[in-house]
Amino acid sequence: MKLLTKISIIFILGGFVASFIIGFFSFQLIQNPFSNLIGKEQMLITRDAIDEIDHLIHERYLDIRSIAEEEHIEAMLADYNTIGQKELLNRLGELSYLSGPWDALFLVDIEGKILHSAFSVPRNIKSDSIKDYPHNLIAFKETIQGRPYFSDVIRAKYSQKPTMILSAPVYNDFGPERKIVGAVIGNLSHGVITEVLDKLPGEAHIYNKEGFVIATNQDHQDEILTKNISDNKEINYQLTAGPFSNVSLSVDRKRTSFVSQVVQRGFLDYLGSGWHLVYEVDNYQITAEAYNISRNFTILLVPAVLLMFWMFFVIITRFVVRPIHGLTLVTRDIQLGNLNKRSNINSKDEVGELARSFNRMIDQIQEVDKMKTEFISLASHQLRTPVSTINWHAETLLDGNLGALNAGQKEYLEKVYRNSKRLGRLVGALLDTSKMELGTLNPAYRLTDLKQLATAIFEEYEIKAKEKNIKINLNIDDDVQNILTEPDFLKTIIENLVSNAMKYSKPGGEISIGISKSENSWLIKVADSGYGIPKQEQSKIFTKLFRASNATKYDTDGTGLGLYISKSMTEKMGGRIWFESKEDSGTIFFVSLPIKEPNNVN
Amino acid sequence: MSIKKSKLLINKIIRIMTNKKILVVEDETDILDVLTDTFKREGAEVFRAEDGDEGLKIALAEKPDVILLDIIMPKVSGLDMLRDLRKDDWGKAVPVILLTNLSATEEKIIRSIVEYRPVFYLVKSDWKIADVVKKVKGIIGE
Repeated sequence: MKLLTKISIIFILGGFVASFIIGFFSFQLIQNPFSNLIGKEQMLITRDAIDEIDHLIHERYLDIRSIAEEEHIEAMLADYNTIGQKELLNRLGELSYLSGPWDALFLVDIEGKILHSAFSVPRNIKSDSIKDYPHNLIAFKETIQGRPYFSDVIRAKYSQKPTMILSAPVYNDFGPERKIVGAVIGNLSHGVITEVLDKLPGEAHIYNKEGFVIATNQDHQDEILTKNISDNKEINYQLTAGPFSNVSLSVDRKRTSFVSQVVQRGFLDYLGSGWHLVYEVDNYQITAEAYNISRNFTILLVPAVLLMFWMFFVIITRFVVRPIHGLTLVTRDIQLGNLNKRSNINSKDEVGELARSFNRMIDQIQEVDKMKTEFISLASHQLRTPVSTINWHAETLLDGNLGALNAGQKEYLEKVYRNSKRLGRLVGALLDTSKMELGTLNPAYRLTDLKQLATAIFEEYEIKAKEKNIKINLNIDDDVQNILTEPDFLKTIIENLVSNAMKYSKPGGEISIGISKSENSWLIKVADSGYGIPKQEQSKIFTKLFRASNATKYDTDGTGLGLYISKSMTEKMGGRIWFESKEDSGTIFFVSLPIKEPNNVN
Repeated sequence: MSIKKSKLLINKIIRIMTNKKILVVEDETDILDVLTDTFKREGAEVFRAEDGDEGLKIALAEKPDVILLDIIMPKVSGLDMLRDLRKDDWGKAVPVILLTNLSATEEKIIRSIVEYRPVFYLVKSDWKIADVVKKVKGIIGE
């Protein structure tokens, strides 16, 4: 797998993992403050509810008191008739209407006789004595003693509804001394409390001193005055733990409950209702909002983190992967044989270090390669001397200059000579190759009699051709006879081509050598009808040390250097070398060289 | 070739080489020997030197008709000797054939051809000894 792909996968996976971890923790971290915030909000809500209830009751008491202080009410109860009964009744009617949601309103004199009553609920008691209304009787008894009265929520006998009773004494301000002449008693529906509780989003219950439910915002209205706090052990513990005016909070896994004493201000200060509000919310309700906020934040966070990781990834690839890839491309060039390539990365970091180290390594390889080539060059030079010594001595003997030789001596000596020449050719090939690699192969142009050069080679091979029963012919155009060229190069090239043609020709075959001229170039053509070069190997034929698969069969001797040298020399002269070949049919080699004008060359 | 023609040729050859002096300067003893023997057989008087110093001395003393000079030699090289030789009044005209196993494309040779004017150079491994003899005769004959 590519490095880029590996890194992308690591970063994408890492990005996801990291963003989820971050998201998870941020989720948790955000939720708590939010929950606390919302929790506090809920606490404030309960406090507001408590305040509202308190205010409500106080207001209703003030209503009762203002009725009690009404001049006409006072007069009525003191037996003074300032206005007519009818008018009085009207007034009372107005008052009760304005005074809010009273279930019942009683005007009672000092003996307990109901002088006037108004009901807004169906009742099953019709009496003009307060004694028939048990709870109201208690209120009456308290009030005529001068004590304003507030009952807890009770179940009124006449209506069977949960009711609160508020009463105030009526004073006689007209007489010689101030004395209580009666009471105003109001029965208030507990629904006013329920209304307040309805505003709370959670579950709210109000428990009285005895622990009974007196108001709830839940549907179980049948719990009113029947369910007792002792059914709920936990809350019971908190209530019995002592009076407290702060909101206490208990949180379990699913619910958070606020328990708070309904604090009385105003007239009930000293009385104290002893009520407790127990308000419960599902944690979910508190946390839902927090949860949503943090969830949305996390959802935005994940792509943001991924984006950030992706940017890091891009930066890293730019600084690491790209240079590495560049280095790889350089190594590929070098693999193809071009030892001159170097990496151009030069940063001051580890990657730059690698590149510089790499370049030094290639320098060293090049150095070694050069030394190897120089060694070959030196060795080949050294080898030439004994080869030419052997040749000259053999030639002298074979020419008969030291006396005639018998047939056997001649034969053996010829073999010595032949092999020495062969050795010389091999050494020459090594020398030429090493020169090419060191770049010291330089053409020396001079006017050459091409005809003579080609003819000399032709004559040399003519003999061999006869031995192998191969026809060989030479065709030279007249106008290429004297030409400015490099004769040593040409000799090597033509010899190489003709020698190859010879090696790979079948007995009875034909070799033709042709030299011709065209517009601004001249052409050497060497054709044979031999074994040809297999198609799949044709592209490698000019490479150093390459020998086609069918070549070793016919000549175990070849170095594989011949065509490499021929190509290098041709190209050094600015020419082109190519061939056409068909397996088992034959091969034609072409060498095209540009015509050089004498003035251009030193 | 007819016997008459070949006899004429032999006479011609002998005529060319007799009473001629050849100096061979070469550090490889075997090559020095084979060249010496070959030219002696042709009838010439052969002088030998194994280094440039010796060669210069003998050249100036004996004044040969042609000098065969090896380039690569220890101590004083062939080119150094040639340079010194050309300073001499007689030395600047004597035909010198450079022998070498360096190929003709070496820079040194190209330079020396221009500077010190050897009449010819030949690469030992590329020449048959008989052809070398022919070349020397050709030069002496001119």
